[in-house]
Amino acid sequence: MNFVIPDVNLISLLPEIILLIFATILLFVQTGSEKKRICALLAFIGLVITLVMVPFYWGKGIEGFGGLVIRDNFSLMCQTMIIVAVLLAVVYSYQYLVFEDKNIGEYYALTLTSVMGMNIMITGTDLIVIFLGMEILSISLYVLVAFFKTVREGMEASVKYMLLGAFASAIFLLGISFFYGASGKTALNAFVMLDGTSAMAMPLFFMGLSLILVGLGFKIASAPFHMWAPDAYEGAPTSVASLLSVAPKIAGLAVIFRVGIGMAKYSPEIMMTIIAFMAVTSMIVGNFAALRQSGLVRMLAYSGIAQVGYMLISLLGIREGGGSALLFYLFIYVLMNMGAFGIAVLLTKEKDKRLLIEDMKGLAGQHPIIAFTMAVFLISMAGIPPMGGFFAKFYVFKHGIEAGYLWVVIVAIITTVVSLYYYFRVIIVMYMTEEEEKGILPKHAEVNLFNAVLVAVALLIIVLGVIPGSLLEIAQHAVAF
Amino acid sequence: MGFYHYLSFGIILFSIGVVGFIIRNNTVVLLMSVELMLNSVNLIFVAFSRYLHGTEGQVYVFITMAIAAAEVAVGLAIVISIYRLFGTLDISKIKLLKG
Repeated sequence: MNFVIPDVNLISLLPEIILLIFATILLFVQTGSEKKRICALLAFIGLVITLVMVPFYWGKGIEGFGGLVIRDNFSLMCQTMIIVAVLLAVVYSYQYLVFEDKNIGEYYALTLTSVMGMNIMITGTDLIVIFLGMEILSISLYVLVAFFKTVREGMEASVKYMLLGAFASAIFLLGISFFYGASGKTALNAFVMLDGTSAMAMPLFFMGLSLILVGLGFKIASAPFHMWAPDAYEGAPTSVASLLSVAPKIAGLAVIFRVGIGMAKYSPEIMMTIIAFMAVTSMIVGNFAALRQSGLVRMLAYSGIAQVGYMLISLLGIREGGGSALLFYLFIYVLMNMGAFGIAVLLTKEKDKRLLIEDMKGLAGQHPIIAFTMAVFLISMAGIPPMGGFFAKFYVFKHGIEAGYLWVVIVAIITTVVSLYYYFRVIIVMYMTEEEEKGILPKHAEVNLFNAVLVAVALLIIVLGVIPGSLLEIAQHAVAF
Repeated sequence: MGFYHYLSFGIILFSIGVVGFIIRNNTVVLLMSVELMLNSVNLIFVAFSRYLHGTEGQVYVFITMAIAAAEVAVGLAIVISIYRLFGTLDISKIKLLKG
């Protein structure tokens, strides 16, 4: 038996290596009074370096570790979105964490390792590599959710997230083992059904595929596997919740896309049925549960579940180029969801107190810019024309209809109408209620970096809503294999 | 003892883990159920590896063991903090978050 050493091409993992180096440095930062600023700056620099590297990889399709890792345009596009989301989360964390919080270095180090895990997930072409990335991501996030270990809500959120996440990982791993049994391999792009074992291979393959999708469904918080999400988002520090609500969903959806592309020639009807079921239940559960929420973060959590349902529709048309609609929707989703969570970070005054929608009374009178950006994010989530969210939904529905899933799109349109109610309730509270004596924010909030970031994100959403062409072109380029 | 015995044994162990995860309330028992599930997958990997005359499945077992160890290390740390804060390990009594 001859053993061939695979071609280890470390260039293919350079962004992850840089993230790991910065995470390690962050663990050793000991500078007393300036620690908060230096840690945030280090994390920011590490992320910016990995973002700058994207154009150099674009179009090259560099492979590494004997094909286990591939940095193609699709993974680069997902990497860009993840890093944009995490950069925003770092800005939010800088605002949210006060000086007394110890272990700030560990906070940012865990953020960077979670980004590393997500990057491994989206670049991996082998299920075991994807599983490794998923675990790096999940374990970092369990600790981040439990970061304030004296806050009861945060610890409860963490234990629920950790137990259900570990359960989902075990189910995903069982799926991988069935997949391995059916094909003798775990590679997604080189899947070949074994001859001679066909009687058992086909059922095993379908069971493996279903279990893998269930495991990923947990990670992207799609119904009926969503029950951890609202608790985890509400209990977690709000800056962590913003990260949690966006970044793992990008990675999970990217993996579902890769699985779908890899399986395209082996009758993926069963996969499409599962995805359609997950999409419909997510849209119904997410939108109707969001109607009766009084907490802002919890409402955003359920709206995030509904948004995942819309994104899954684009995967139904995976063979007809639905991936471009997925990438477009994900990009808009990153901007609008991170924006809305940014407002939540700004308004969270005390760490162990829930932020209610009623707390936002009269925000428009005192802080017109913040109220306006929040309105932009919410209108974009509802999918109303001038914003980017409209085109995102439009492309997704178009691909769903072209793939022949008209009934799913009809459910999506009905639930979108339902969603208008809870998005506009927030806007009405902000704009149409009496000003209170003492608002939630201090009267003279200065113009700082944080507000500038929020305004920039809101402007980007409006720009992408008016001229969506160039982003869509990049997305189509990214999914053309 | 053939391949199907090992496969069935692995699947039965996994099901016991799933049932334990669903019906028990103690956080430590829940972690143990998850560990049982991960280890039963190891058994299935080895069984398939032997059946297919490949070696990859046996290598995956080591990867899975390392991941399970990392997961249980973080899990037990969280469980200890939970016990310090709430004075109980019963997950059905820890419910500040709801809605």
